This record gives sequence, structure tokens and C-alpha cells, in this order.
Amino acid sequence: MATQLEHYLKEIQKRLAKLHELTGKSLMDSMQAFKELDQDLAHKVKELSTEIERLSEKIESNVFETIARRQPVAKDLRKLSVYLQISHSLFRVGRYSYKIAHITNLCENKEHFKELQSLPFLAELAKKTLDIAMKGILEEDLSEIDQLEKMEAESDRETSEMFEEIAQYLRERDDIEEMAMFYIIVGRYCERAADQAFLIAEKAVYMITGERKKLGLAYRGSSSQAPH
Amino acid sequence: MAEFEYHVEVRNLSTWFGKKAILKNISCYFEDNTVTAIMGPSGCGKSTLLRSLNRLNDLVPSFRMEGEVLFGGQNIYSPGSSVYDLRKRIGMIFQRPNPFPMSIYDNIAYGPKLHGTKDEDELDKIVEESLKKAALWDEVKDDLEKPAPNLSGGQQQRLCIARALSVDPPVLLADEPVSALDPISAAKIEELLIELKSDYTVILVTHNVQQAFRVSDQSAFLYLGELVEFDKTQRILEAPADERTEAFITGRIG
Repeated sequence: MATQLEHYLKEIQKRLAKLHELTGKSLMDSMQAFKELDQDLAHKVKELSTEIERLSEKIESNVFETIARRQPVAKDLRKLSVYLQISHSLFRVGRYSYKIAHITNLCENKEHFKELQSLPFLAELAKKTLDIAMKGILEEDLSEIDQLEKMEAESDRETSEMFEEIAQYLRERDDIEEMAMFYIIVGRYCERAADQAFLIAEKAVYMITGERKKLGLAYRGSSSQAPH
Repeated sequence: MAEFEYHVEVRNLSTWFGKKAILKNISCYFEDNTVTAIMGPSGCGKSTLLRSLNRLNDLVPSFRMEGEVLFGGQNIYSPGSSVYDLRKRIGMIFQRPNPFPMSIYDNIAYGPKLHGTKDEDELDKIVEESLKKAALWDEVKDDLEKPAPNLSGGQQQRLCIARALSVDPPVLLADEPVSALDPISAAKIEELLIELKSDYTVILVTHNVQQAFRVSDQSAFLYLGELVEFDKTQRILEAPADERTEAFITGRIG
């Protein structure tokens, strides 16, 4: 028979799974909206952001209640601590999506000066990172964690190339400054989303093993020195 | 590590009652000025370990032990070691408060008198200081001549703590000291144990995991007579090293 604590944990896990699903959708939809400059989709992303915020607050409340009522220790306590932190991380990813959607709104009646390839790729990488990290949290499966550094390196490389490409466009054209700035900012939001996913992955390792471990190239002194 | 740095150290302690093995080759030390909680399921040997620290098990005829318990660097079980002196240096509080059938004052003064303190002013001072340390002075200072058994359960237990402190022992043993008390009295005793560690080393047996985590700096987990884990409480409550400890503190075995 499941204990009350197990019941509480399972309920929070379900909400986290939902939050993960909404956050991933929000990130991909926001990028789709920006790529297509689709105002309707951008508005839907903004609406979704409210739902994400409410769910994150609900999880925070559930965690507080569980700690107060069940007084968990050991792995149960680590789980709750991690659930609290990652619900905030997922909320942050939701906010980045909101901001990308907002930039899309600011681009109403504007056009892209190039076909977007790097930004959707960066969003896809951030989403994949998030999925691997959340697999650690929800399924306690760390088998794909080793892939994260490879994805981080890919993201760094893509961002550097995008930066160079935009700089080149700016040298050649003088009517694209605003849109070029938006590209840089949106790229930055994708990178931040991936950072949050990395934090979640670190928390997954801690939750499962009890060991605090830093993941990522930056902590090994081998990250890109690109200005992003 | 200095040889005699710790007041109490257990080395390879095994104990038996008759043919039944209770403790199995236990080694640990209790740092000065800390609270250590010994926890584990019923029958795991935690009270036997506690009672081994001031030779209370000697009172059981079938008791037998191997190994050493060092107090201030001396083996308390070595031939010629004085149990009388030992119990002056290692005080004990029991599960149920057991005040002597005499006044509050005499309960506290009893120990110092037994150990040779005759001066009344000195005794008055000891009684007051002991009751203050036990956070009972303000409640009983005007009733010192009243019978101790008339106090509430929580007050009686704090009186017993004051009585133990009256002979100024560096080490205080507590065997489930709040399990017979109401929650408010229990909370007071827990707070008191934490305060006392600035002057004493407190070793507490408890079956209440949450209590162990509330009051202790280090925790020992015993299971079937084996010392499974002994570490900083913060470490054990967050990430115990042994799965048996994890199962016990999360309530999955007990």
C-alpha cells in the first residue's frame, strides 16, 4: 500500500510532467511563431505562459504542503527540494518563450531578412536538453545525461556561427539592425532555456544519487569563448 | 586525531545477554559538545549501547561484553575502574521521569551531598544553577520545598535533568527522554538538550527519527545490533549512505 508521502510525491510528479509538456510546447511554438511571424500563435504562447505560471505556483504550494505534513527525509526530501527548484526552472523557460512571442508581436508588419535556420535549431537543442533532463527527474533515468555536453558544444558552435553570420549581414546592409538585434536576443533566450535544462539535469543527478555534480563544458574550462 | 580527544569512544564493542548477541563489533566516538542521536527499530540494541556507556548493563547478571568503552581515554570496563565515579561523570535521564519522593530542593541536592558537598550555601548555588540549566528555575523557585512528584510530567523530566546536571557531568545520556511526555513538554526538553550541548556532550536514544533530526549534530543508525551508519545528521537526513538507513528514516522499515 502506498504511503501518504508516496501519494503526494506522485501527484507532484504528474504536475511536473504536465509542466514539462507545456513548457516544451511553449518553447517550440514561440520559435515557430517567430520563424513564421505568426501573430496568432504568438498570442497563444502568451496565454500558455499564464497556465505555466499557475502550474508552477501550484507545484510550489504542493511541495510546501508535503514538507510540512509529511516531514520527508533522504531521497524523498531531495525529490521535493528538486521539484521546487525545477518547477521554477521550467517556469523560467516558459518566460523565455513568452518573450520570444512578445518579440514576434513587435515584428508585426516586418519581414525576416534571411531564412531562419540557426534559431529553430537552437530551440530544438534546448528542447532536447530539457527532455533528457526531465527524463532524469520523472523516470529517474540518467542514461542520456552524457549526451548533454555534446549538445552544449553544438549549441555553442551554432550560436557562434549565427553571430558571425549576423555580423556579416550588418556589415553589408543598413536596413536590418532591428531584426538583427531580435535574432541575437531570441538566440540568447534559447541559450538561457538550455541553461535552465542543464540546471535541471544537475538536479536530477543530485536527486537520484545524493551527489552534487556540475555538468557542462563551462565547469571543465572548455566552453566556447564566443560572446554569447 | 589526538588519542584522548573525545570523552566517549567505543571500540569494537560486542555485547550479549546470555547467549543472545545484542551489539556486534561497534566502533564510534562521540564528539565533545554535540548531541548524538542513536536511532533504530525496536530491539536493534540502541538502549544497550547507551547503557554500555555508563555500565548500567552490569546490573543484568547475564550481561557479557567484549571491546572497550573509553571515557577520557580510560577504558571504563578495565579492572579497578570505579562505577561510582563513572556515574558521577556520565549522567543519565530515563524514559519516564523518576523524581525521588522528596522535595524539589532535595532531589537536586541529593547527588552533590552524596559526593561530599556539605556547605549549605554551596548546595543552594548548585540547586539554583542546575534548575536554571534545566530551564525549570523560573517555574519552581518559590516552591523548592514542595514534593517533586507533584510537578507535571514535563517538569519532572526537567527536574531529573537538573538532578543529573547537579554533579556536573561532562556527558549526559538520555534514553528516549520525551516519549512519555505531551508534545509541549517534549518540545521543551528537545530545546533544552540543544542548549545543553554548549556545556555537555549529549547522547540520546530515540525511536523518533524526526526528533533525532531536530536535535542532533550526528546520528547513529543501529540495525540488528550492527552500527549501519554514523555520520553528521545533516548528511544522513539528506543522503544516507546505506539503503537500510534510508529505508528506516523514510519509514519503509521499522
